[in-house]
Amino acid sequence: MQDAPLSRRRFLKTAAITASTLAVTPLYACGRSNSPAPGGARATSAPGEAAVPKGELQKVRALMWSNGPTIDTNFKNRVKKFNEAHQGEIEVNLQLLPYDQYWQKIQLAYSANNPYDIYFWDVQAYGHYKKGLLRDLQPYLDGTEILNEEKYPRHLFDVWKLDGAHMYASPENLQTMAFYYNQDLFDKAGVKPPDASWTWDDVLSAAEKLTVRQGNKTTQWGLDLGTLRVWWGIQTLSWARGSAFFDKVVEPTKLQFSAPENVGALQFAHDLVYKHKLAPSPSQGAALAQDIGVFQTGKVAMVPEGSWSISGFQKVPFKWGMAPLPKWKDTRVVPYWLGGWVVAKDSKVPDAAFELARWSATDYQPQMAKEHDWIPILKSARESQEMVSGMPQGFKETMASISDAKLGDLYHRNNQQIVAEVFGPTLDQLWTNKLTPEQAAKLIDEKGNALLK
Amino acid sequence: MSALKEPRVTVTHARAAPDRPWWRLSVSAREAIDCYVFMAPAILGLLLFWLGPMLASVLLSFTSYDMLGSPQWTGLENYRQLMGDELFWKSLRVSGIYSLVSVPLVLAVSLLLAVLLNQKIRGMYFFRSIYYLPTVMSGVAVAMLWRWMFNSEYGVINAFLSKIGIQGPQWLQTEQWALPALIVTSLWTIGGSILIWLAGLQGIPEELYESAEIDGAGRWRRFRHITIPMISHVTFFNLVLGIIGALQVFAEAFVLTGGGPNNSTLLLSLYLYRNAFQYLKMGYASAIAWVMFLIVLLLTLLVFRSAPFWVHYEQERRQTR
Repeated sequence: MQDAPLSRRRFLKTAAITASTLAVTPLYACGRSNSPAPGGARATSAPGEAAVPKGELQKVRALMWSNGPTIDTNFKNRVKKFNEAHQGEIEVNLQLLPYDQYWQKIQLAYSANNPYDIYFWDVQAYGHYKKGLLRDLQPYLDGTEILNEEKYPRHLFDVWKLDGAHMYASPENLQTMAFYYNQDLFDKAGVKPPDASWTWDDVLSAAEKLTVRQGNKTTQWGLDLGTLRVWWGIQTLSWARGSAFFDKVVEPTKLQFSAPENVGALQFAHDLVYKHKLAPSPSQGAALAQDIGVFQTGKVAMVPEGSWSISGFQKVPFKWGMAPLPKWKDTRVVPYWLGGWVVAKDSKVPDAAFELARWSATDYQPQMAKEHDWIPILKSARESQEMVSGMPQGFKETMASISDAKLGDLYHRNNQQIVAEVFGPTLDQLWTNKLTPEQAAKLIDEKGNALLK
Repeated sequence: MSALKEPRVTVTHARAAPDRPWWRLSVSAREAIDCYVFMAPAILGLLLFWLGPMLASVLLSFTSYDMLGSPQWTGLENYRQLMGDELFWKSLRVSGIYSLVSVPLVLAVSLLLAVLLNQKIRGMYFFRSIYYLPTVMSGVAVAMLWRWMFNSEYGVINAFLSKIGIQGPQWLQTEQWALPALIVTSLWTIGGSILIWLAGLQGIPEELYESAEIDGAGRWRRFRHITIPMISHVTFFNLVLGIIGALQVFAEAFVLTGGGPNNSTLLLSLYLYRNAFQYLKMGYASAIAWVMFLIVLLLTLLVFRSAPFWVHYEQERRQTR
């Protein structure tokens, strides 16, 4: 031991220091970045000026996030169909990534000067528009039937005119919010289930009849707040009362949660839990169900949820139906969200990339209706027998309520931070009764407005 | 070192006499080569895959970088912003409390288990495997398991508490219990430190205990005055790794609470992740990473500085003899 070149103490020291050095999470930053165009600058290119000459096979790199095995398979089959329909002309190579890697991958690809030609829109892509990385799709869309008001709800697409005049994303599907109910529980209580005529007052009186208590323990709840707990869900009550949580969807300048209509909306939902005790608090809900929603347990009579919940509810062991969101007095405003594609400005095959978006929004729509994963934007597909068959009662009425829907989004470069740091935690405290509606509204306005600057 | 080993050293010395053939290396040279070969994978990995990104992240921490445009040099702006960032201070506090409680807890429990696993009874290998097993199971899967155990209504933890007349809390849903719940989960992976403790315990010469016993020392005094000092270098090693590990915990918190409710479990690593991969603020996240590194470095140095006061090495003993 005496002649060991490295003493034990020195070895331990080296080992520990190496370990502590390795402890720091390294942030990988690779690739040379391109210099972006000035913020929001519009790409002036028009269809037909592709870098890859016509007549050659145009290879398109497309990216979408993963939505579970069923929808992923549908997406892959869709691309296969597209490639078959465009054989010899276009070949789309679709990659699917988990959502938490999706935006990193896109931005790294931009950073390495090798952007995806086309990828699926979500709010983060607004940041890409702001950096001038997206292609103006207006010239492309102008030549298609997608902007035909008779066939498509064209007025709902206007929110994607990000500069006020030109669309930077091409829509293909819709989502909205609906009011779901457990038919079995309604039948058992002898109460008429919700329909398009219901107001929130009707919900309240039905919930009274459907809530079952044993001693001081509730064994069946009249309703669950569902997506009313999320800012865009509870905002539907604000809209119905003639207000909104911020002044405009694209580049809002001011949050106004403290306006009386908005505090009133928060108060109404809060009362359902803590005053009327008709809906479970978050901890009562978590005790009822974990990994699935409380509605699926069969112990809740009604719940407002996204239209994307339909497929998840198909497997529950009880009869259920849906209705449009209830009205506030006589007004109903439902939210909607658009699904669609954006094309990179620097794509070498923009025409071919847009063709995937166009084909998805037109030729593919009847198939989308059949698959029941997304709701088609093409009116005839949305109202087709394929779409309606197998859907719950009330589906048609719910879809009809979309016509005067408002966008349930917020387009701002700090969107992610506002939602994760301000809306989320503050509303959590409201729903757990740590803050009153007034306090929560004040806090959101203070913190949120700082992030809007 | 025990008397047993001394002659062996002498023998090796005799073999490595100066008149050896030129191609035969001396013992010390061979040991040195062995040492470097064993260290090579870690050091090469560090140089090839870690050093570049680490240096890049130092530079990035002085920029505003969203991976879309080129990084914009902003000097100390990120660090200045950090100082005024309420959530950064909150996450620092959460990480601090987590480490302050979980490190001593893990050290104590793993030492206790190591002492038990060092007994000479039948089937000991089975028990050792059982206690080490959790360490090899993956973080996310285990976190899912914990989620069920912490379920306030159906979870095994509250079921057990209710058996002894305690109404268990809403573990992961309440601000005051979510962090304690996370700390409890840190006990899952103590297999590694148990293993190191065990190695240390087995290195204690039996005759020390025998002579103490003859001198009339009871069980506790033998543990206190022989075991504890004799494994102080292992304690030191486990402490340093424990501190580093505790400040790095990520997967469990990410799956169990995601930092909630109301950021009560927002560990520094979670806040870093949020900024880097959710908000894509790479410059700011790099600054957090470096502040985190400095804290780890500072604590590690502090522990090293304190070592002469409580860590005992065999060589020192030999020198003072």
